[in-house]
Amino acid sequence: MTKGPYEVKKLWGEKFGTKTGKFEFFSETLKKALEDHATKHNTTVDNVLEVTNYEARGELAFVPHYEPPRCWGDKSEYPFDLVDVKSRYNREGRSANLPFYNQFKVLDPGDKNWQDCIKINPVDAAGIGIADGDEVAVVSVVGEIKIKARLWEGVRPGTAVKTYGNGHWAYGRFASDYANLKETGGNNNEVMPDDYDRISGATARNGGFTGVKIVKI
Amino acid sequence: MAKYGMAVDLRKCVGCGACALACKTENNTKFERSGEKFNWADFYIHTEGTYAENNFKYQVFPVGCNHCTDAPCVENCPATPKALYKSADGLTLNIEENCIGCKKMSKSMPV
Repeated sequence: MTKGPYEVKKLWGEKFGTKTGKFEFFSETLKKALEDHATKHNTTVDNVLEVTNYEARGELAFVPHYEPPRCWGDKSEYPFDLVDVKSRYNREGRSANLPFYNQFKVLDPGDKNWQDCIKINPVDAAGIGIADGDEVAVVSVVGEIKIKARLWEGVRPGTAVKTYGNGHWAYGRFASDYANLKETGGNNNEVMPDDYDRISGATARNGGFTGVKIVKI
Repeated sequence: MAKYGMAVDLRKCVGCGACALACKTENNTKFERSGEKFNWADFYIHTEGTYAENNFKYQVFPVGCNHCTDAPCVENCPATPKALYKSADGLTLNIEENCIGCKKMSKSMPV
């Protein structure tokens, strides 16, 4: 950080940390990175794009462009997009053992106190024969969790909403059935595949990338 | 002597729960699970409409003591001597030793 007012255009003039030193609309930096990577592994840039699940080919990859979202699980078998939502009482993912987190859970719209649940729209629930408060299994291609289902009009049909941060089995008496080492609620990580945006390295958390089905137990 | 009351602009309430969190912390109430029998501060949650019709509404009303000037809970308290009373500075207060646990106060409350 520099002290005092910013001197106009001080950082202009090819001082960016890019290959050209400029802001790149066409990313020579990404092009070089992918070409070097392809050469190193004795293949082509298009092949690198294919195995890293990008649909762009050729020079389209180096300019801002649309990539369709990817979802784990076929829609016909896993009809709901899981929304991995933050409870308003969650600080990162470590609040499940705080008594007030559980005692005020009703203020997460659609939730109930002292309870972990998955929320779906009543229209969807009627379609799969689930009533408010039913015990359900939430199943994805990688795993399943067993929790209560809640019907909530605030959820867009086709999505299933669950706060993260629950499903502990040894975290304390408020977060789990500590005496029996038994979890309360479910851990979203059990059903979310380990997937990333390969170029940025970002987790694919908010893209609706997990397809789930909800089955009454 | 000052007269106290409670003024809450419900149009601005976003239902964050900070009022009840502060109340329970300040008054050192027990946790819900540890045998607390009544809520010192609670919420009334109102919903109407549906997603399909694009008119779903969700509103949270904090339910705390408003310290009414003419408090129906004090009037309807059947205990002798009364557990509830109005203090000189306008607060509605409870003497726990006199309380018989009839819950008439919560039924008397204006909603």
